Amino acid sequence: MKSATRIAALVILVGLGWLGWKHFFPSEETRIRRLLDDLAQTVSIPPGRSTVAAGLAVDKLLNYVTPDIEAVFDVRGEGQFTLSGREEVRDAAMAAHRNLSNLKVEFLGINISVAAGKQEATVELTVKATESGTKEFFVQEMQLHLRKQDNRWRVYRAQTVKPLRL
Amino acid sequence: MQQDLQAQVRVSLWKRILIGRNPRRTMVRAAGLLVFSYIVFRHVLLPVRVVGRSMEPSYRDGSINAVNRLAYVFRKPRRGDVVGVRFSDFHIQYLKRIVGLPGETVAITNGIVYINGQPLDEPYVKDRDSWELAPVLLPDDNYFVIGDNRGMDQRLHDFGMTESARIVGKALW
Repeated sequence: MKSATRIAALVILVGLGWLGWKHFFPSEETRIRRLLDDLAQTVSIPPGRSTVAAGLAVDKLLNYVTPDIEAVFDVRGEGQFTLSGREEVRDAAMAAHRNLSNLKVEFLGINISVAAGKQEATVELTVKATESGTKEFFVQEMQLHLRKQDNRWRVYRAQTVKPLRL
Repeated sequence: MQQDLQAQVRVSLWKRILIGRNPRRTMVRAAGLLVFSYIVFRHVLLPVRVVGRSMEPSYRDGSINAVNRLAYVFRKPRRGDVVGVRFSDFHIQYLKRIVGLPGETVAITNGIVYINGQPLDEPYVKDRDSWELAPVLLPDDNYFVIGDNRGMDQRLHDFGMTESARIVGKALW
């Protein structure tokens, strides 16, 4: 009985140690997943957000992208458009906040592939955007390219991926 | 004493209704049912809710269906099959009909689909707008999928070729 208790205590200690290690020394993939969770919350627009809060959210968003960010979107019915640089991303984000009263953004089906040197990574994900109070949603598959700068991952290129191509 | 007996009979009846005569067997059966349901509805038959009008009138917006993931284990997708085409997230899919097979050339002229220059008979299409698409040669392992609602604006309708790896399965009905 004593040995069983000791074994159980050892297993619990090892388990806690492993969880602690994972939390304080996360893998690059885990760091990127946390970044993406944060990014999805940042680009979401909760109802009743003030202009000041919107401005702060947009500033926070810009910290997730490099200064030379290039984002290529291909939206059904709208065609293709490109945002180059943080200023254009800022303008687009502010326009979104002006035109939308609320938006919930989720990143689903995330597949992360970290390059051998752990300085670059590619992420494939599906963006799902829902306006609360409606059942309809917008989905778009995206491919993000990230680069590590100052020990922090940032997106330098984003592009739409079309499951159905012509 | 008679009241006690009646109470005991009542408890026993409720217990039998709720958990059966043999609780252990009931628990095993319930666990088996849970595992079976998980395997079937997570890995074999994926329940789907149709969103959008691109497959009308065959599949209406808001209707429920299921995608059979085992449909193409022993055979390849066929023309006319309604299939689920996944995004990077497995649970978000297009529901579209296969009209072109690998190696074929698909074109659309005045709303009519042409396969290798021959018009395709599509009895499931009830309404056609004058859609146009220049000929597209399908590479190996690529299928051409399109919705049944050809009366809608072509610009608002997602259709095109997709790799077989993105085809999740066949709509059950």
